[in-house]
Amino acid sequence: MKTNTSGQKKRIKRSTLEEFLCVLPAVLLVMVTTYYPLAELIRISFTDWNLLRKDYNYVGLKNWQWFFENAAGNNFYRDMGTTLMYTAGSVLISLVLGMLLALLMNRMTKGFGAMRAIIFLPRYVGMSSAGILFLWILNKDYGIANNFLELMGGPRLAWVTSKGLAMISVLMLTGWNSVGYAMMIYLSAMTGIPSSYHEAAALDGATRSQRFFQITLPLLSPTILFLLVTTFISSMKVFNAIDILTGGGPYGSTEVIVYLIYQLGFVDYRVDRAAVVSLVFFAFLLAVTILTMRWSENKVNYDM
Amino acid sequence: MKNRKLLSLFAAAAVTAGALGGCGGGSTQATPAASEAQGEQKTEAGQKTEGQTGTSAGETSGSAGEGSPYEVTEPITIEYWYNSAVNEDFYNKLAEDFNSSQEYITVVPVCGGDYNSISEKLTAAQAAGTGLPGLCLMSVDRIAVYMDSGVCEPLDPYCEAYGVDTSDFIDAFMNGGTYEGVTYGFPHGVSVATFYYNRDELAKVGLDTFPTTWEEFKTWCREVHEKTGKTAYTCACMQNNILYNFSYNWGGRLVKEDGTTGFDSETLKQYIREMKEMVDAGYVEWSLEGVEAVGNKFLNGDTMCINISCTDYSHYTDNDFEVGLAWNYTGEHGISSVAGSLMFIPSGLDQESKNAAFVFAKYLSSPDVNLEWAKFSSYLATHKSTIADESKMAEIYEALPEMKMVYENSDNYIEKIKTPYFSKAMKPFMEAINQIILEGADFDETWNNMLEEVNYVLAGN
Repeated sequence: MKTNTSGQKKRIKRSTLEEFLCVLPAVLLVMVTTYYPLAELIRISFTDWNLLRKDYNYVGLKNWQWFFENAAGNNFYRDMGTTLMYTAGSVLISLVLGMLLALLMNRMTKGFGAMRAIIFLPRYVGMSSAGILFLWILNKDYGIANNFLELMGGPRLAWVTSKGLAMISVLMLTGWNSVGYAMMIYLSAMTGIPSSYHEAAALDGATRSQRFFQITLPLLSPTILFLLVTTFISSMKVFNAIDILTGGGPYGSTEVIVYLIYQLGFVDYRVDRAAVVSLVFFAFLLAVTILTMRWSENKVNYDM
Repeated sequence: MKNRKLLSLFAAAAVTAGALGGCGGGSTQATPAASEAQGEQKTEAGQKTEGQTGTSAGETSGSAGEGSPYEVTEPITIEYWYNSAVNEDFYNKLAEDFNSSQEYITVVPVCGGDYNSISEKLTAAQAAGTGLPGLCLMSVDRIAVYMDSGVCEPLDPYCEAYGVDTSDFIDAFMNGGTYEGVTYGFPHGVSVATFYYNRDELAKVGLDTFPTTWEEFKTWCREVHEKTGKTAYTCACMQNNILYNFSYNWGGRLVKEDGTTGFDSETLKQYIREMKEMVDAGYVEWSLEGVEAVGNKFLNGDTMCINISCTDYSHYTDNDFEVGLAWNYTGEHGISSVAGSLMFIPSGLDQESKNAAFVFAKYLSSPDVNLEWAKFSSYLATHKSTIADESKMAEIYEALPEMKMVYENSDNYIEKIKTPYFSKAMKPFMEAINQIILEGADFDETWNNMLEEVNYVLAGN
């Protein structure tokens, strides 16, 4: 009996070791590519390194003091507001427009399949190429967007160079690029909802909208949460689209936090300060993600 | 369970931070071709150069002398990073010629994108300590911070070893490559901004004589607009070089002797008000678009005049209409600041690579090669000896007739203020002037905020 228990323990130990060895490469990869840079970021925030010099000094809390004393003067709050505004727009496009497209395209015929592919296709277009394409489309004088507007009797708009429209232009670009992805995620979740639910509800006399709000939407809530969190985080980190389309302008109206970090690090050569802003931003994202997950615990329906 | 969830959340957020920590990294990989190619044997043995002393900057012949630490003694391949794909053929041919004249050195020209991209790539390579080019072009506006940070190799010992006399470089160009008395770079792609006007279209309405004073310019803009129905002048107001010139000619100074900004000038403010009046009247377009878009408007005949770098002239010679160049007299001083690039050798390279890079820099900046470059690109010839030689200048004028006016105004070239904060300090000024002119922002409030911001930057913040 004793031998059996000892043998079992050995087997468990061996199996645990095997499992550990299996995940070790992945853990090491995450350590090297994620936690090491994070630790470096923290270290750099206590130095005066400018990214170019070989030597640097440890300056204690000087950079943190700079941040907390001059955050407004250094456009942190303005850029945080811009980032949140962009994120709200981006999340809305992905969640709502993605859902509407999914509902529209939720037919398993060849024609709809082709349309789904067309809508998803922009996901494969690199943001740099798409950005340049949109610069041409939205050009005030020669762009086809304004040509079309003019044809309809509208005015020629300064899409990327006017304060009011620049952010809308960025959202058009990123929305075009990402909405197909949201649609596909919704569609895959919709196929997982048993048709018997809808059939039973229909027999009970439920209307289409009742079935949508009482069955589809609650059962899609894990998907909505997934899209909300992933779109939120990726939108908060937007950079390429802004860099190509507006360069943060006009007058900083599309300057988001990651663009500020880039400016500090690569234009002003203050990577020490860029590290501080990155860490504050990281803390903010972490807090928002935790709050979202906590809030969703009671709201998301995981039963099927 | 809760802890595990928190841990996974932290992991997810850490991935985000990791991505942030590496932002901008996507396009900042240094090309490893040089290191890969390093050690390649040259199969084509060219003529061996003879030692010379007292040569003008960068003549092709000349070596450091036997036993000198700056002599190239082994086969070596280096990269040369330049800034514009339109010059690809020129640089490839140049490298081919240079390589065939060398026993040991092979130069590989690499287009690094625009100056911003080159700067990013170089910064990443410098921080990583690998993938550095042998010779690199850097914007005049940015090079001060690189010199200040020890990224550029001091060239004085090399000049001494190779007997290079840098006094033949035009002072206003050469000074950009020196910092605290040390030479770090040679001028190469040097330019100034000039006015371009549509001579044919303006001749039709009798306005093809470009104004030479501010008052004349205002009247000219109004008349052009009235007679052609088109925009008289489009200003690419996102170009700090253009606004720097305007600010200087309008009586403002980025930095005063006491280190604070000299933009608190009533004269400057008055000029801006008058420019705004012209914009409001539709004579002038104050455009937030890039130089390329503004250039297209000019080439399409939608605007009669623009103000951009003289180096664009080489691309504007084959149009439906004749392009005229005119000097910038739109203010009290009539200056144009020196822009463009300097070449430098990264200090992080090994000595052999630095030696090879210097030999190539010497070749690239030699009067003859520079003359060919000036004729090809409409960048400015950088040597006093070239400017003084009528036959050489005639060659440039034959290839690029309107450049004569630019060279004739060489007394009006000025160096920009040499500060590592140049671009950062110009940004609030540009935003303020653009907001006042385009958005009708309250002048005094916007101006005072701008002064505060510029002074904050100039104080080293």
